[in-house]
Amino acid sequence: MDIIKFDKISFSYGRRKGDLPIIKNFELSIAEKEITLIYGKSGLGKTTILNIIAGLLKPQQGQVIVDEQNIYDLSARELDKYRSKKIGFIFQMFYLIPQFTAVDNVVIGMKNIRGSYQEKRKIAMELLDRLEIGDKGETYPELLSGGQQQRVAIARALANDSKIILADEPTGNLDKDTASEVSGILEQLRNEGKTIVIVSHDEHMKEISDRIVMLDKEYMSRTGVM
Amino acid sequence: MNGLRMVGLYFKKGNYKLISLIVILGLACSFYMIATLVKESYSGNKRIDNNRLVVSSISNYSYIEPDIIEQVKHISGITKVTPSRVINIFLSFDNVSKEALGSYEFIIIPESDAVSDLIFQKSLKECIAKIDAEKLICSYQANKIAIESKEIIYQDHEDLPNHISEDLVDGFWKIDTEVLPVKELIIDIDSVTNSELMLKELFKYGLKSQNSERDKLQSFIATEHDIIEALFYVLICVVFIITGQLLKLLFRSRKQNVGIIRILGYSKRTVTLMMLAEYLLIYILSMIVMICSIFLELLILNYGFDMDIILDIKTFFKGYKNILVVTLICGSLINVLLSIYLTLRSNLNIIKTEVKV
Repeated sequence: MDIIKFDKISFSYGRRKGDLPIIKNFELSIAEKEITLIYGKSGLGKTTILNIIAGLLKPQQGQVIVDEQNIYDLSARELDKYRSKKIGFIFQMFYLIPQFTAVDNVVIGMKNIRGSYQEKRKIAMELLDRLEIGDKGETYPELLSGGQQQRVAIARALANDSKIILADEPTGNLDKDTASEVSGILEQLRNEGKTIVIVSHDEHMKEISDRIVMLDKEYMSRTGVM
Repeated sequence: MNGLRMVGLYFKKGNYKLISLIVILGLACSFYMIATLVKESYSGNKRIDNNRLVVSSISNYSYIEPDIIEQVKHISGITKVTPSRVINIFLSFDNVSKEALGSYEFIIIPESDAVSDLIFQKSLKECIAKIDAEKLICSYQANKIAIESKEIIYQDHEDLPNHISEDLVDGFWKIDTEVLPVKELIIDIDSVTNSELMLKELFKYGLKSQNSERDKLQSFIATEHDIIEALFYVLICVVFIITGQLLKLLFRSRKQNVGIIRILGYSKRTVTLMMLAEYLLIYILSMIVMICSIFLELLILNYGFDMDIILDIKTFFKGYKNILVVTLICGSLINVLLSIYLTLRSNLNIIKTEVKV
């Protein structure tokens, strides 16, 4: 079953319509509980597609159906709720809050979890334990390695128990071994029932992907199955 | 509700790096206060507030009599009346300008044997003629000289005018200030007891006096004090501009956080509250640091807890010639606020501007 569907989406950057077109009449279906890799060279609109799914960029044309709802029919406030309930984000540069410890970085991701700060902290520590960095809970991001920071970012993405995880070049800033570990974590999450959309130009990500969306220079899409 | 809790968490957890900034802000503010003290000590007896007392002494001695200074300190409650701040102008009576004398509200001429000296009398007479002060205090012997050059309301015990009560208190006569049209007053300060009581009366009355016109005139007179003051104002501007830039840097560092928190699904309102909570915290803590450091520095400099210094901030902003400084300070603050606004605006509207984290 498809959880995300792009229906003839066109998007261009710039104030005037038609400026710097990124994607034209783009159609895409992403199945539930799968890893979908959007693959292609830089500048072809991979991150733009991810941002459109997250409700951060509104396309000029077309519909984006997520969980049977056109997300761009939602108000700004409803989009905030949609993002916090259904989407978990992982970035290439991790983007942790430097003033927070690892555990607090996870806690701030728990917008939809009810409970006291202490209860949230407990859940956050469990997530960090699961990602094998429970001992780094009280450490500030600047003192963590790249791999450890990415694990904290993954824990934050999981904090709201979102259905969909969007990963923008999740291994782009990591060495080969650490990248392999992160791939393993994403695979494990898929097995637990998460839908994962990865944007990457890392060949190794193909190995864990169920579906690959190739972007070419003419902004057309071809879909292939591994 | 969860959003507000996150505001609390951000407020509580996100500020460990702010301590250094707060200390800098506090030091900057206390630096301002110290600069105020330095400025005051350089400006000698000239004070900013018209309602405050300025004391000087015309003496035939080469130094100011300590008991005079002590009396003034004791009665007025002003602790900063130090000998170095009291000018002995006896030796240069001829050179004393009316403007210089006019800057003192109270001029004390202590008892002196030299008053009987004819040369001294001549100089003193000329000097008194120039005096534009509202209150003139001089010794009994000096009275006679003063009487000749000024319309004196009162001279001594034996010649009390009607409007001065004869209710003697410890040998001193009580002045009915409501009846007495005091413009120039000469009173005997022969005895310590009498002079204390007299000063009490005069200070009580003198604190109500206003010399704004005279001060305005003097403010246009270029002196070395003005140069020091100008430097002081430049210093203040620099301090405020640096403080403003520090705040700008802080909010630039928070730019990334705004983007991240918005992507995590927090509303614009929540993120704005987070930023404002942090700003409020900086403000309150920097004020606490500033006040503590002021008192500490005052103690170190042995000035005591003189609230006059604190009041100087208020009068500083009232001064008509400080418009430029106030404009610069306000400009600096507006610059900071504009920076905060632009940071929030560009990062809150992530939907329009892409994910710029």
